[in-house]
Amino acid sequence: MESSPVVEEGNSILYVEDEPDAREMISATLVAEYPVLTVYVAENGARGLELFREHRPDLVLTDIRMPVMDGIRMAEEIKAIDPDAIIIAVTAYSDTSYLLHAIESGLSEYLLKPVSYRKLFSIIEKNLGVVNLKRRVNRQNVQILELAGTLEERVRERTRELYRLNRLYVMLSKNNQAIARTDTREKLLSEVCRNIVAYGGFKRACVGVPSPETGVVRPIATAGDVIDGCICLEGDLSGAGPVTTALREQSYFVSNECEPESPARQLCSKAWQGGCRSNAAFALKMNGDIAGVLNISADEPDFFDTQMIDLLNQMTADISVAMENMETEVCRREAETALRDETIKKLQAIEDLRTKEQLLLQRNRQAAMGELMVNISHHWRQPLNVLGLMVQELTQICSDSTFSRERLEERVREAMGVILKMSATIDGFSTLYESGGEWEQFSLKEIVEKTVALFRAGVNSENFTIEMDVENDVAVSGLANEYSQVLLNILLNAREIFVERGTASPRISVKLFPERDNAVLTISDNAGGIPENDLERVFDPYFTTKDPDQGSGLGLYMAKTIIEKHMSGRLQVYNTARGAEFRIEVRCGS
Amino acid sequence: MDLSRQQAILLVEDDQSTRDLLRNIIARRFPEFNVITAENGQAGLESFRLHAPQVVITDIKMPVMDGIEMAGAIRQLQPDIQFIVLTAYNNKTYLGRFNEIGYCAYLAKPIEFSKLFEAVERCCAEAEKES
Repeated sequence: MESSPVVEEGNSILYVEDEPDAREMISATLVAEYPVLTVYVAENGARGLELFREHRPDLVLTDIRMPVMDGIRMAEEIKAIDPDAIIIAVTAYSDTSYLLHAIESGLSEYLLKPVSYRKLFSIIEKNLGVVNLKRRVNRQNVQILELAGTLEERVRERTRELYRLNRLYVMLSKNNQAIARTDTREKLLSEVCRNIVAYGGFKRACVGVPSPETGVVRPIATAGDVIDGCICLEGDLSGAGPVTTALREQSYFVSNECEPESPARQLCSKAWQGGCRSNAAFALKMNGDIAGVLNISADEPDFFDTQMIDLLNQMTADISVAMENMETEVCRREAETALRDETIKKLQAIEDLRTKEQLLLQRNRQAAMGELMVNISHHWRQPLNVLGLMVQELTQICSDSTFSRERLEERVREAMGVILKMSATIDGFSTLYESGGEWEQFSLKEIVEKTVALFRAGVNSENFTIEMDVENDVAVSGLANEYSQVLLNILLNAREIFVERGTASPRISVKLFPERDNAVLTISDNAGGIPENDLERVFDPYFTTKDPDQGSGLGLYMAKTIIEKHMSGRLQVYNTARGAEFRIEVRCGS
Repeated sequence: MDLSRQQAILLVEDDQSTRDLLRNIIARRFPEFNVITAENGQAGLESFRLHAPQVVITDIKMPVMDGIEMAGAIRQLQPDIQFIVLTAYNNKTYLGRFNEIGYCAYLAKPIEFSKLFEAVERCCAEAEKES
């Protein structure tokens, strides 16, 4: 049998009737018609009221006239219990005034006896429909209310979350500023810890660095409620705490429910006592290696959610990069400083060397000049003596009968000849004696002739021949005095060799000629040449074949330095058939 | 006694100007002397042998044969010969070696007439005494 869709599982009805036949028949019909309907049956009002109290049926169907307690009375009682109760009267009365009274007493409807089943069913279905609808509405209302409550809770939660995230963003922003502003690792980490506590709403933050020797993590920056020793680490890296786990796994470790008694000892007892309920540790890395750990604690459990952990991971990565950059910067700065010091040292060394070289050059010049000076002073004795004799002789010859103005003039001419010769020997001496000199354009012919003249004056040139072939003049630019010094050194060197070897009819040949872009001057002697072994060493400093007291051994070294370093030219020596030949090459022109 | 031997002074000097000047000056001052000249020790020794002067005026540093070598040889030939040595300032070492040979006077260059004439007079007088 098909059940009416109006009557639902759980619907109930109380049927009160004192006549047993009618009671039996109608209740049976109701059960048959509505199999899901629960039907309570009572034989009078008192019993009906009892059952109502007990079962709270959706509908009450009652006779009016009944013993013990009639329907009207029961209806009043029921209405007192539940004003919304639906009570339907089944009555034989057609007295309208009675029925009106009945309705006042709380009866919803009435059904006249003899009962029409169609009407009965219609009334039951109509009222149960209302009940069921009301019930559904009530249920939905409850649901709506429940929903509203949940929504409110969710909004509160969301607001809290937003607030927390906002704090987190402020903290991250402050930390980004710290990264941009600070220049040392210690400053950065201290500021980061301070920001985490001040802006992030965390209870405390610290950064620990594991000692490379012992592996024990020591805090280098802390902020917040710092517990003695902090960092939630006891012992070495083998521990099971968040810090050691993060370090070991080179990642991060979160414990949102810190239990001091838990076997993993996720948070040390000190931190628990200090009020920490959530904890997260993030490994700081530098160039792929562990550089430390950032440990953050909160005073609420479940403080770290996925989003926050993502953000904190990002922050840790940023700090790691900043630390790397700082190290690179420090390395770069150190390298720069080292380079600068090195350069200063090198420049100083070069300067020292240059000064030393300058001194050597000057000393060599003075030595060469000194040598010439000694010779000149010696050789001047002869002409001075002659001059002396000439002057004194005048007193003798003025009383002579043959004395005349012509003879006097002849004597003066002779004396002047001697004086001019003496003067010529020292020509160029003063200019050559000056140290340094300016970079200038000069005639090589002129400087060679001047130098050779000086050399002739200084040495007993009557003892040997100097052949000059300098008509092919070349203009060069450079240091004239220094060039002259080079030539003088080479000439003096040749003279030394002549004396040392007792060369018969000694001869020096000086030849000047241009060759491509160069001005070449060769100075050759006939002293037999330089031993092959010494050829490469003659330009070495302090190389000398002379007795130590006779020469510094620096003459040719200085000559080489002047030509090759100061004038960018070339000075060579080689042997010819008769002796040694020096070859000086310097660039022509300006 | 040979007249030429009595009246001769030998002047040995390598520098021609000095030699010529000195010869004229001495000859002019001491006309009684025959002033003979030589340009080095070798020539001086030969002249000594030839002219046998009483006084020899000599330079020290000369080519071919120096004054010391010559003086030594002359001393051998004529033990009481009088030498007047002409020296330059830095020829003191040579003068020291001349000491061993012995000399009457020395004159530093540049030569002063008064000292030259005094030396010639004194040495000639010594030569007179010796002979």
